[in-house]
Amino acid sequence: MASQRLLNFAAIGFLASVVLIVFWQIETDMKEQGIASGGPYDNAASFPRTIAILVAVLLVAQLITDFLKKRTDTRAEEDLRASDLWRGGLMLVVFAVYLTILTTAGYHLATAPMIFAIMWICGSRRYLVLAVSSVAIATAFAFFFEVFLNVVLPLGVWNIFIPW
Amino acid sequence: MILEFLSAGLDVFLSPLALGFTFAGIMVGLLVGAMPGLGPLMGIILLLPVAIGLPPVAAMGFLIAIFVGGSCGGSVSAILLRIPGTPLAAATLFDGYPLAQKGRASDAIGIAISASAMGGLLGGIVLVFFAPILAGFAANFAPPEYAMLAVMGLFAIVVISGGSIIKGLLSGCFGLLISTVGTDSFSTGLRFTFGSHNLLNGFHIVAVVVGLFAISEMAAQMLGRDLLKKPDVKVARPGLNTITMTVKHYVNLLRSSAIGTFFGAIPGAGGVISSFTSYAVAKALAKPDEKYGEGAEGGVVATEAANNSTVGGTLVPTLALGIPGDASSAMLLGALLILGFVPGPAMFENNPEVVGGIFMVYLASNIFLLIAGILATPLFVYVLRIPKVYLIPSILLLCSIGTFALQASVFDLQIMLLFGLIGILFRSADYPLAPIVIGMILGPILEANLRRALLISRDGYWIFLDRPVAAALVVVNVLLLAAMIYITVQRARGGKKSQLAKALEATDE
Repeated sequence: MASQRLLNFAAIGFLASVVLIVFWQIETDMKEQGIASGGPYDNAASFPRTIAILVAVLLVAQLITDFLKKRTDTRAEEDLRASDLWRGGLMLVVFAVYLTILTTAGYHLATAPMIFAIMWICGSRRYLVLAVSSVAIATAFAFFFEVFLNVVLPLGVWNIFIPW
Repeated sequence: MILEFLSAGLDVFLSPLALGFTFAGIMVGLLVGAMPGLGPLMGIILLLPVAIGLPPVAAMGFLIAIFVGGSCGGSVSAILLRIPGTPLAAATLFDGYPLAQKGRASDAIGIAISASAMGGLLGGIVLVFFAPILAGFAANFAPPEYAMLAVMGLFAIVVISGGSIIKGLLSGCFGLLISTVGTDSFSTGLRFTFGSHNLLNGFHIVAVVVGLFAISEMAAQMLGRDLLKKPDVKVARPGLNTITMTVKHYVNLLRSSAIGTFFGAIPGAGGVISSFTSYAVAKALAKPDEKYGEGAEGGVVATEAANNSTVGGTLVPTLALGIPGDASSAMLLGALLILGFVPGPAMFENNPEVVGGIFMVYLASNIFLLIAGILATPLFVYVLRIPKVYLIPSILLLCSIGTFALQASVFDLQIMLLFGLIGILFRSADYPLAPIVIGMILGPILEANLRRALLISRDGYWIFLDRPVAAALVVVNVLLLAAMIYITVQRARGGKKSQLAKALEATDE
């Protein structure tokens, strides 16, 4: 299980990579476009550069703060079991797969299995209830968005739609 | 002038669509407020895609009513389950739950709803009177003033948010950086688009915010072990006599509403601070026989009147200056921008019917809150019994369809997921999420006005000190910066966290 300290460093690492991307883009793409220098009108790099420098300074301050903090393991405090994290992680995987196949399979084919899977991950094992409620939830949302808000939901390669 | 706004707004407000969606917004707000883990911000985020397809006043009526209903709804679970549906209702626990334990749960809910509606109406009066005055004053503002106001909005959010100041600033700066993605409005150059035409207009704010808040919240909910649990709560519909019970505390009601409106108007302060402050003041001024903390009606009146009047207060700088008071009002500001209106003095000048319509929907939503809240309490209590196993996939589905519906774009869905993962990382590392939204909203305002100010200046950055109002705002910003350093040092020295600090931290989650 990841400790709070590790998560802090992960967040710092992420923000540091954002800063690096900002400078890299300014030095390459924005210079090529001729928008990385000049006066306030032409210099589109000035604002992101200033913010990136500020982020870099704050990251150093945060890093120092984290190093100065006493090494305390917060695992017990959080009382999170591996199974809890597994549930959250699996939900994200299912949701990512759903978003990936949504345009190919279409809303009506992809949605009910996604709901079924997430309810199963939540711990429900009453399969008939799972099946009925996942189809009902998917259909109810489709009805609301397609009929009331005129949204065309992804039809997929098989052009599946419900003629309400 | 005020009557002109109201009469202009009345025409657009008195349409079946605006009235219907305002009422629907109250119902949705009460539902999302009652459900622990959701709240008004989440309600606004989830239903923003629905709102932006509506006419402006109906759309704002829907979203503002969710804000109003959501600010009150948290009290239902606070009173019945001892779990505040939103951090706004954290102070309602002190007397609401003991009142329920005495067998007066429906009275406590009725008082909470009545106090919320009356507090909200008083906040509305302040909104209607002061927003046009402030907008009139701000009509003389030029780019230097707007740039400094944007900095002030961001600083204030960071100073008053409960967690680490450095982390708050980092989140705010991250939001500012996100706002720079896309085509630069001055040079028309492309920034951070990586050759993708999907990024020419930057990230869609709804995709980012849904990911940051809703997806990360659902992932957090999945960590709980109560996913199949069905709380056994039952309560009768509150009687109309709860309105009389509330009015009996009229001094407390007026005082708490004033405190709530005042804190609402200060960017960053918000409902949590106002409800805790007004509770503390009410308790300090109460007679000993009122027994605050043991089920005093006045305790519920103080917190609920304050947190709902905050909504009216927070709309004052949001509408008049275009500076959001908190994350929820930032989303309302974002909605107005998507609908094609730029909040600030220009909107008061050019679109009085929209401004007046917003005033009307805000006032009406508080009246609807009283009606719907009292009549439909059993429904909200029933919602508390829905296990999370049904809510989590439903909310994820709403996130996906809502985000897709914005531009029929799969790219937006990918951005939503990406920011969901970033939201999870930020939450896990205790980085507040609200400053990201504020940064994203204020980023374009800050950059455009900063560059305009420098363009019109003959002395570079001295323009910010040459103009009296801009100079005063610079001083305020320096003071806020000093406050940040002071708070950081104080927190580094340690010390126990107050209940208010804990509740403030919870608002960012």
